[in-house]
Amino acid sequence: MNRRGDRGYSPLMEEEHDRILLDRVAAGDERAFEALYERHATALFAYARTLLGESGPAEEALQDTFVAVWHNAAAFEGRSAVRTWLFGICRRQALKRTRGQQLRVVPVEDAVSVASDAPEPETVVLARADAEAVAAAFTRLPAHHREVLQLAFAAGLPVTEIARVLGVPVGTVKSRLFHARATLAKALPTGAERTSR
Amino acid sequence: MSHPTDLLAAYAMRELPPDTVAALERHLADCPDCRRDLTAWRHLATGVQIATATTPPPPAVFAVIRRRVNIAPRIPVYAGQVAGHPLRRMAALLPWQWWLVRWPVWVTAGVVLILGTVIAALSPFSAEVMAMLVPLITAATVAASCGADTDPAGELTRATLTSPRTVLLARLTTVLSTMTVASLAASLALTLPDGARDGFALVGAWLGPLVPLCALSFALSVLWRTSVGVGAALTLWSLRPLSGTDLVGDWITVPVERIWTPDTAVILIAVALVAASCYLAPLRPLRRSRSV
Repeated sequence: MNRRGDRGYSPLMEEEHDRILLDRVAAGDERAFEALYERHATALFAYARTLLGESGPAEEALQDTFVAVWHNAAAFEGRSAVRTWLFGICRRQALKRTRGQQLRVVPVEDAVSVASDAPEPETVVLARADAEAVAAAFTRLPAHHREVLQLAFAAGLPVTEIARVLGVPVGTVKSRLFHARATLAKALPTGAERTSR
Repeated sequence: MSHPTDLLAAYAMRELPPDTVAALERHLADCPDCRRDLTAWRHLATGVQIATATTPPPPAVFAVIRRRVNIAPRIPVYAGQVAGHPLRRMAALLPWQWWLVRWPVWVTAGVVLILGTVIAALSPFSAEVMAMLVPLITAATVAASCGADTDPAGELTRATLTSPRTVLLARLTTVLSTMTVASLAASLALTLPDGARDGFALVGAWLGPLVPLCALSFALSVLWRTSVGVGAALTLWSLRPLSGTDLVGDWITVPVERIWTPDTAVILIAVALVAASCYLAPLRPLRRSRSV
């Protein structure tokens, strides 16, 4: 899993490295372009697969993403992290391939309560669930739920950066996370409790 | 603290600042409901990571990207530092040549030089003895160590990044230096005890013929065979006592004497012969060494 900080560097150092590489890409440095690809391609590929469901279209979205990066590196203004910028481009390229069908997003008001004091029943189910069952339920979720969970727990983006990628307020990201969790808990089959290993 | 439900997801994502983490962990220690909620987030995180685990994209993806942005495929180029400064490179290269010369060559040269020095010490014509002995031993050692058919590391040397010409020149330098130093030591041993012998004349007697004789044996052993190089040196050595006698004509006496008492022109020809041999050496087919 390509989470931030897993290589022993702080997120700030990772970001500094990304910015240096992107500056060099803007100057036409092919080695920097390859290095940037090697740093982020796996995470972006996983994200594209989450959005598109298949490897073939995800590979094409990844290609489009890095072609766009090569041509537009100089246009990066530094208003977000480089990684966030890359995920944003990847998202746009992936959504182009959904043939105009935007990811269906549940309106915020329909989402489950974010800060309820009482423990939710699905919390109990999920806390007892086996990881494999959770993974299987994840694959059956709608794309917009998979997307926010993937960005938070697989890509390892902070909530503020997820909000930039999705173009929504931070509060909306949090409510989507809760909603996605509740939906996944409901999708868990009966008897998916964690077994002792 | 009421149930900090909204913080638990951020905690599972390792996003909370340290002071908030401390307060939250104190609450978690006393709150089974929140611990269960946190467990649910963590199970969710693990499940998502399992479900989205993926291998890197195929290498062909980046190849297509390269093509689309018009970046030519990169040919791998060795980018490491080969040896650094030329002097450091030479210092590293020369001593190793010592070990690439077969040990019998060094032993034979050493034994013959010691015996010859003893004979010179006992003889009233020590300069003549040394003039006959040292060039022959050195020329034979050069041929035996630089000849293409006697190099135990010939194939390996050709596979390295260092030019075969550089290696050959380093080998010649090492052998010549070693033999010259040994011969100087022998001359010093002959001169020091009673001071009766002129040291400079003694050294001059063998140093002059050493240069052309070594150049000839080097060229023939490198470009032809070791045995040819040694044979040429032996032939010239055996003609030297005969030169000036009725047994050989002037057509032999004149060149042999010019080799044994070389002038600037002969020295220059010898240097040119060595340079030409070094240049031509890698161009000739590699003979299979017996030990490779």
